[in-house]
Amino acid sequence: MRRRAALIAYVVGALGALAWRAAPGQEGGAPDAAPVREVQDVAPEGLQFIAIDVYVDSGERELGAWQVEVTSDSPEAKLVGVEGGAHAAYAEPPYYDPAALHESDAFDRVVIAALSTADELPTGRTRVARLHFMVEGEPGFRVKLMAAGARDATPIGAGVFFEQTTTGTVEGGA
Amino acid sequence: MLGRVVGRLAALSPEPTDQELLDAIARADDGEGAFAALYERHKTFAMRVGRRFAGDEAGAADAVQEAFLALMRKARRGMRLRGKLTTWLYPVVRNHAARARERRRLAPPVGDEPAAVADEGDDLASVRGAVDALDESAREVVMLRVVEGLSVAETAAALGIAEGTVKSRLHAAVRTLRADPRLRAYFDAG
Amino acid sequence: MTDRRPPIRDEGEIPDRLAEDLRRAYAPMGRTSNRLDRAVLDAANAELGRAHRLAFPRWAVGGALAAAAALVLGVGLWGMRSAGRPKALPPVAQAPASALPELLDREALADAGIAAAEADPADLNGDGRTDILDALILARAVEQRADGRTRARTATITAELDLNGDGASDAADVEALAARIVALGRVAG
Repeated sequence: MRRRAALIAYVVGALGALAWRAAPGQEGGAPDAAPVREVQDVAPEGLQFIAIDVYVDSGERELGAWQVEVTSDSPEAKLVGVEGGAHAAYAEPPYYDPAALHESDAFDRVVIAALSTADELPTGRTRVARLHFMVEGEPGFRVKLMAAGARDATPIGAGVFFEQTTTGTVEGGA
Repeated sequence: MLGRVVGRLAALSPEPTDQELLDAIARADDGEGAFAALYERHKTFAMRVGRRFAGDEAGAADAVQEAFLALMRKARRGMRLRGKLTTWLYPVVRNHAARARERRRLAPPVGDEPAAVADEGDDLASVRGAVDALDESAREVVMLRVVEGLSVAETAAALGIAEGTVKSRLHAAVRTLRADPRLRAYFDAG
Repeated sequence: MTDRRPPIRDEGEIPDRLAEDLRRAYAPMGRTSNRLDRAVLDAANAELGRAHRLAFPRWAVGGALAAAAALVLGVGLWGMRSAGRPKALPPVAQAPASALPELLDREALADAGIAAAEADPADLNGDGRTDILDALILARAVEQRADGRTRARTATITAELDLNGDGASDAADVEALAARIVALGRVAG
């Protein structure tokens, strides 16, 4: 019950955050330029909401497609949301297996991927997705690049990074 | 060995088509000979594509090998050609070659061998120089249409573009070549 | 072998002598080494040899399955009669119920298990794995065809892309392929 209430509170909060980000002038280029780091220290106890921003760096090449695996060491982590990235070409949520969202009590991994045939494709480091997790205890995530391709689908060497942010906490846990 | 198996197939049919050879692989009916004949028939095309896109000898060889193994696996399942086999081979070799080039960029080999350079006369060197100076999209069309002898439709299929695009790119390429002083003699004589 | 190359006079702009010199200039680039020839043929022969070991005629597979079923049934009936009580037959192996679209062609699935694993028609760039780059190839081809930039009848690549066998390659195939690529492989339910 407490977990459900926390989830509802999170959804309301997330909607508010989205509305704020959608306001004119709020979406700049800052996320892509931000260093990869933990933005906020988290308390190991209690229920936390964690946002994982996934970045792909394709260097000078245009990013036509990417595929990333996100894994978690946390025994009590649950994927609760998947959002798109910062660039228009990847603004839609990426492909992912809904089983990771709906059928998994204990999240261990998800594969996310997206492609774009848009005229404008990002280069350099760009945020391609944001994942939202509900975590009890110490969060621990890893990301691994499975594939990245240029506009013409030829493979390219790219880097993958993530930035972890605590977006909310519930004292005492579930 | 290659000559022997090709000769054996030739004895069965004067010149089996690519589809007949693919069917023979699928039936496991002298599959080795059929594959060898296919390889012999298309290896120079594949190697030219591999060399152009891999940028080095080893990458080109890897691309050719990977492409023909992919062809073998596909043929075993029963492959139906809807055009020339070269239109299937072209993007496969190109992608493998591009991957090889990318690997090389990330981990440059030590003591890499240079790509094969043709021992050619002045005229041929000029021709190569002029075509190599074209931009990639124009050069691809010239190579497939003129050097490999594919039709407009086959070139379009290999590149995944419309036939009209092939024609317009070729016209643009010829216009550029015509303006190249190294090739003036060809166009003046024509 | 005779030169089957069609004349290029339909564009009518590249002089014949230039076309001939172009072919001569690039001919050496097609030379393969004996080492490469041997490597390709050896690898192909090894592949074929493995296929021969694994491939059985369908009548033989059917016969073997029928014989196995008869044996299981016979053993089961014998066991029931000798023990005087019903005895559970071994469970029949079932394919996992998956909600994911089936993209492997049926011929490949009918082949030996290794063939299904190795030969994926969705591996469009032939690199031995099926990933988002294959989906991008498919998406580009579908888009080009929709824009009228590719003729479906002649474009081999688009013809190869009807992955779910519904007679057309379209955005649904892209979605289905992407869904399969990110699938976690869990059995639903």
